[in-house]
Amino acid sequence: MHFQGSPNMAEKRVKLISSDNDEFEVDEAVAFESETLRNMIQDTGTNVPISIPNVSSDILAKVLEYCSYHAETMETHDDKPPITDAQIREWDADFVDVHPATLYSLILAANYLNIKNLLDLICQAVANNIRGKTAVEIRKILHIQDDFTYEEEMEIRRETKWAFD
Amino acid sequence: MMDPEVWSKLPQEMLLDVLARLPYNRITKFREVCKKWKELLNAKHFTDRIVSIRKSQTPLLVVCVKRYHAIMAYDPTIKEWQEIFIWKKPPNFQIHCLRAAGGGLLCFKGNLGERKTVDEGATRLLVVNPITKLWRILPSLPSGIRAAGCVNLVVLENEPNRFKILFMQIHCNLHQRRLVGTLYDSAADLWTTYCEDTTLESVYRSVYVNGTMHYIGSERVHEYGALVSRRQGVSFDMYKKAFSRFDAPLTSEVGAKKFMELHGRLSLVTFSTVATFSPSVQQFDEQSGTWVDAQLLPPGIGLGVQGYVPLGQGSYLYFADPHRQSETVVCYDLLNRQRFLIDESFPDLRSEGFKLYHPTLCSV
Repeated sequence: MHFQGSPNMAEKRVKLISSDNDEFEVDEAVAFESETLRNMIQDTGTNVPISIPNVSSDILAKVLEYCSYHAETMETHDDKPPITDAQIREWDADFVDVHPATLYSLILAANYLNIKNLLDLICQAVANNIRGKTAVEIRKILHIQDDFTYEEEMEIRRETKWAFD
Repeated sequence: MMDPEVWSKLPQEMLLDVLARLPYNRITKFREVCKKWKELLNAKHFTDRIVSIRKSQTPLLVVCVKRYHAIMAYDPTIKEWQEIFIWKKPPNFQIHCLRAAGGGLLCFKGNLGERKTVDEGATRLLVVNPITKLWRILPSLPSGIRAAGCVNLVVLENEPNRFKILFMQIHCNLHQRRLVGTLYDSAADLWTTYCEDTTLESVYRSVYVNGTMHYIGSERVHEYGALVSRRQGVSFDMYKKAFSRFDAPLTSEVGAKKFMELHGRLSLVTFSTVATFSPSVQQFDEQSGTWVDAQLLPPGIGLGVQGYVPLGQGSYLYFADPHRQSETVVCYDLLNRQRFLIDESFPDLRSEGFKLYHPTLCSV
């Protein structure tokens, strides 16, 4: 993925504009963490600022923080020891330790920008958030109507019950 | 915490991406949410997603807990034991134990009906895919074949929807001792005698790697005028249906050896019972034709371990607590290079059979 690793390529900067018109400037390698941005840059080059109309500046800042960290972990420095997998995992865990509303915006942004690892990370974080919830709580969170009849409900409970007896 | 105003707007595809990452028992439970979810969480579209997401993850450790009639799975990503629901409606089958796992399928030994029986002849095998929840009860084993000895459940790479079960066991009579391989093929739904070998005394610690079964074999050979038992590697090619021998550093003064599959290659794990020797993983290097230390274990891991149960198929090693004082189990995941602790005394991994399980959509 990181075949653009030559020194003069790495110095290229990319301008990004959030939905609320804030401008961000990052290394091309950072923007390339996003498949969507990679395609745009390869089409239009780095001279034109890229506008991202559905991601606000606070969320875009968060996403770029993720991208720069992960772009950095791919680099090797002679003077620094490489970042270990355990360190990356720890960093990732801190990164998703945010308010669920922020997670929600991040999941949409990661999906739009097509950053597979970030999307994986957030989906897992959301799954961890809801895994302790009951079916009733899930209905509340997602505004879902319980549309089972009493008989259907008993039937499906029987199907999932076997091992509890 | 989870604000309904926000989360109810989550696009369905992304919702499925989230749900596919839930522990298996929650996925089953969440079918109770509504009719749409019941359908979504049973659809092939969704099971496909589970498989593709979990492919790269550390496999689950599955245990059949006899006393509770429960199938438990340890999920290293959430560090929890959970009960998994392997069928929509339980078949009329009494499970005795988990015998094999492979290709995303689990193979249980048991008998038909409710009554427990000690009659070996009534023993049957059941194969289930916990993802699709489809199962099959296999025909009775051929006479003389017990559901014992080396057994492997294999899904060959070129036939992803067909499974084979291979038993290897020693048969003795007055004149001869022979190794017999008995095979079940899901496409034919038949047990057949697959192969025989009269020179081997026993085979054990089987592992399947890329179309070939590997065993540690033991045979009697004449050496300096005496008959001695010699250990060596034995392969059985599932495509060519032929045995072959290979050299492996199997004699050891310091511990036990076990084959395992790692990165698609045959690997040999040495566990030391001597406090100053660390366990090691060796892999066969085809270019030099020698076994080389794969340098996969960090120094000190598992040092001085008294008890160990290395896992043959999959990606992690399992060490018992060196001091046997706590109920913690130390594991080292060789795929993700990560040490983790299983700090639960239930289920008891020493007394229950356990296997590594990786989801697939293999049909049953």
